[in-house]
Amino acid sequence: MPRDDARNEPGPSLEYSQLDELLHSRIRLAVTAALAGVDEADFSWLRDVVGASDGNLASHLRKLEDAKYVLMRKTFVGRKPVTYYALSAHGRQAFTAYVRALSKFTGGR
Amino acid sequence: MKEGDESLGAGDRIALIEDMLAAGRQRFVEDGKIYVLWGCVAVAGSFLHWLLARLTGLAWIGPVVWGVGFVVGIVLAGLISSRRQRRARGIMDNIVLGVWIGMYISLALTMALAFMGMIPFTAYISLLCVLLGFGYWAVSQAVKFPTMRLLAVGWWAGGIACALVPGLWPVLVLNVLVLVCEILPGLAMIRSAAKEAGHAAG
Repeated sequence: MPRDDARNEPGPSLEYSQLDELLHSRIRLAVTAALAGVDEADFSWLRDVVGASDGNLASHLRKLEDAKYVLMRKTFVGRKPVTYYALSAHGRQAFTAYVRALSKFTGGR
Repeated sequence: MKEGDESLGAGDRIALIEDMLAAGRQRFVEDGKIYVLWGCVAVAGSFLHWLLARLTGLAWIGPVVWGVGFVVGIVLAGLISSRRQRRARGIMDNIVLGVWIGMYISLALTMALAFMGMIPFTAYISLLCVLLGFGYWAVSQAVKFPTMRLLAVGWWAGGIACALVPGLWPVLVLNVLVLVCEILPGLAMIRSAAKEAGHAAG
């Protein structure tokens, strides 16, 4: 099956220069994809879905924020501070381009 | 998740993206507090309706009580929603919100027709149950929650029962439905959400 073939494809066969360097990181790619599926999400949901530690996730989110791929919103729910993250239009474009580029390697599946 | 970025092939990356997107699509947690709130509003409204109808004998007292209860319910539901911490808001949340807003508008219009005397009170209670059945069915389809389908059938059956019983009996039928289809599922949702919150904190 094409999917299994693609999964078994060794990493080095990918020409990484054609891919967005920022999304090259596995965690940043996972965060971006998770945010692409929702309007916004809080830190704890992202941590659980991505499966990263708090510190690791925070540092990757900061990089995505610096690149304006991700927007951060701080608010209060009752008296509790909550931070929400959302994919920006720029981030969504970059993610779409990344998926397109990636799909070339998998025969457009 | 380990870094190991370079070790991921294109297929693995696509699979990772698909998993992450699916997590967002599948994530949906109904707020049980809203169900319990509407259940309590309905029970309180029914009691007041029964009491005031007995004391005053006025035919229009029912729609007025239900109208006031509806407004109070909407205000309280808004307050509860604004204090709720949503872990993530996705397409399911938007669909379900759309269904319930449409439901509130339909119920308000039905109530207005009952208030103007264009719909008899018994028919109004029946319509209320039928509309709620539609709302539950639509939500159950959207979030793939089969239990809600059963509750929808319960509302529809209750709607028929309300049309067949005389006097203030529809109010009693409505209260049984509210207990079975609103309050108990709402309490179950609150319990489930507390478990999820505990898991997230842990």
